[in-house]
Amino acid sequence: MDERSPKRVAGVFLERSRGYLLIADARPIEHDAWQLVLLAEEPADWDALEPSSVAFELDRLGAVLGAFRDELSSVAIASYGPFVSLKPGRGYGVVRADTADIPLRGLDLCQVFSGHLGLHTLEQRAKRLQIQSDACACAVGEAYLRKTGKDEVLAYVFATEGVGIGLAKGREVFPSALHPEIGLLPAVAHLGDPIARTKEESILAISRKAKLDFQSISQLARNDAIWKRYEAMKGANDSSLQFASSSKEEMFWDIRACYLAEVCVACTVVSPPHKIIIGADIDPKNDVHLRAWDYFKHFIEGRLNARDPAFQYTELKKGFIDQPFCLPGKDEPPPPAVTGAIGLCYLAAAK
Amino acid sequence: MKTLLGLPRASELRTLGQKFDNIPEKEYDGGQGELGKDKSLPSPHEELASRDKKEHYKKVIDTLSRHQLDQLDAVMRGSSLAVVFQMSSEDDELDRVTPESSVPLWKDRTTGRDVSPADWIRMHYGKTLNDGSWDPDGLTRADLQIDPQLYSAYAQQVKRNPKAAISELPVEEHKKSGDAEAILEERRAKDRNRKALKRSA
Repeated sequence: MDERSPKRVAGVFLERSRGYLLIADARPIEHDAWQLVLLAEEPADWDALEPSSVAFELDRLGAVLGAFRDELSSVAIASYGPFVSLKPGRGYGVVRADTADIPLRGLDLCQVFSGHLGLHTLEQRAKRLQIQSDACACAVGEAYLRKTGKDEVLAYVFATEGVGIGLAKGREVFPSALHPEIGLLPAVAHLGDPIARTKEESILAISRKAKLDFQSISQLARNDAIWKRYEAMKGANDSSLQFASSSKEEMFWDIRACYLAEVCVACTVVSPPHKIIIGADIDPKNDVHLRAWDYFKHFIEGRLNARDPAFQYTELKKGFIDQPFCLPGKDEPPPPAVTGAIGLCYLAAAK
Repeated sequence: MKTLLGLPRASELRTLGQKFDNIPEKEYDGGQGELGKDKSLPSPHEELASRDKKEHYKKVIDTLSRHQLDQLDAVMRGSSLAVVFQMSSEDDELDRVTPESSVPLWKDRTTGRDVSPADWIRMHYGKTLNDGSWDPDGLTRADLQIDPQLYSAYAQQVKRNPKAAISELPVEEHKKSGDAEAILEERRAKDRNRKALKRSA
């Protein structure tokens, strides 16, 4: 007999320049799973370069959360990393002060919200508050929306103001010592990318600094790289992201997709998932997953043609790389923040 | 800010009190810096243009205390919000142990930047011996947590300039992990005592 009772939960998804709070009721269903009924949301945005605006909006989100504190069984929070630790104990939920980006750099996410929630002791926090990486939250949200099987592994490539990857097994975060930071992976430059260093420049950089100095996936595939590339390719900095020449436009969108395909290859060769989802908040043609699949396929086929060791498994077929699952009644995939907040509500319910 | 799913806004479902609805604005006469009367602002979250928002934040900053401004200054220099949130919420503040009434709090200091956290500790804790040297009189660095702001400020000072550390102030060794249960029990006992003291007060 299922002794679990319905509960009210919340998820807070934080990005560099915005936040999103979602409140849901969780009802127990068969196979230890939960069904979410979304109740309320609260978006927030801030100027990442203005600490007072970030602090003000975070405090406001905390106050909104605090207004529900007596009803909430559990709360989960996600942001970009790297984190000091995601295991309960010292440094849990603290965004690294040395290497993370502003504005959340150095922030102790538990401390930001625990006061508002009335969680003053470590025990209370451990019971009712958890922290996750943004991409892992998205992976769980996507797994919930797609109703993936208990043993299926789903990867979510998160391509917004940064690039990350999260893995979910069933509807749980795939266990690891910390969390994946795929954005740090050295990128193989696309030959047509005007913002990628040429081979000669890279060699020069290595010899000058006497250390490896590669550009990372994050540097070349995050949103600000899109804008830099657009300016370099078009020679203008308007916000239309459109080109007079369609071949140039195709090339423009292919370049980012190529880097995301490199992420998919890296993920697949390390821990082959059943499916990879690409969630990008800048994707006007709604086809980044198809473009990435083309490059991914090209890589696999290249290995086969060269008679190099290559692998093949049932799920490696069209649709292996997909776009985020649409919510009922919606025609377009939700932004990563929504998928992530849903994942957080699910994780809070399952706690 | 638009909602993403068309659900009701959480902030509209519960009353959030006056905290975010009526932040007092300090009015200044003719830009001369003379304090005028306080007045209430409408909510800053009613679709304000970003320029208006910036104005609003400037006004909020005007209402901050010296201590809060110091914290903000640290944030601006370090680009980290951690310091801001070390101030924590009012609830958290209430739950903290406050030092004996005879020892002033770091956050209430009126000395500005003239007195460093290390100097403050020497001034208000331990004892000064006849030869002018300072004796911790049983105080350890961990005991400074009785004044959390001082504890953090001292930690920051030592981190930036290790030479500023008070050599006479003993640092308790970390207890071994095998003692985790004992440490937890000790913390719980302290917590219970603190709450009992607060209730009786």
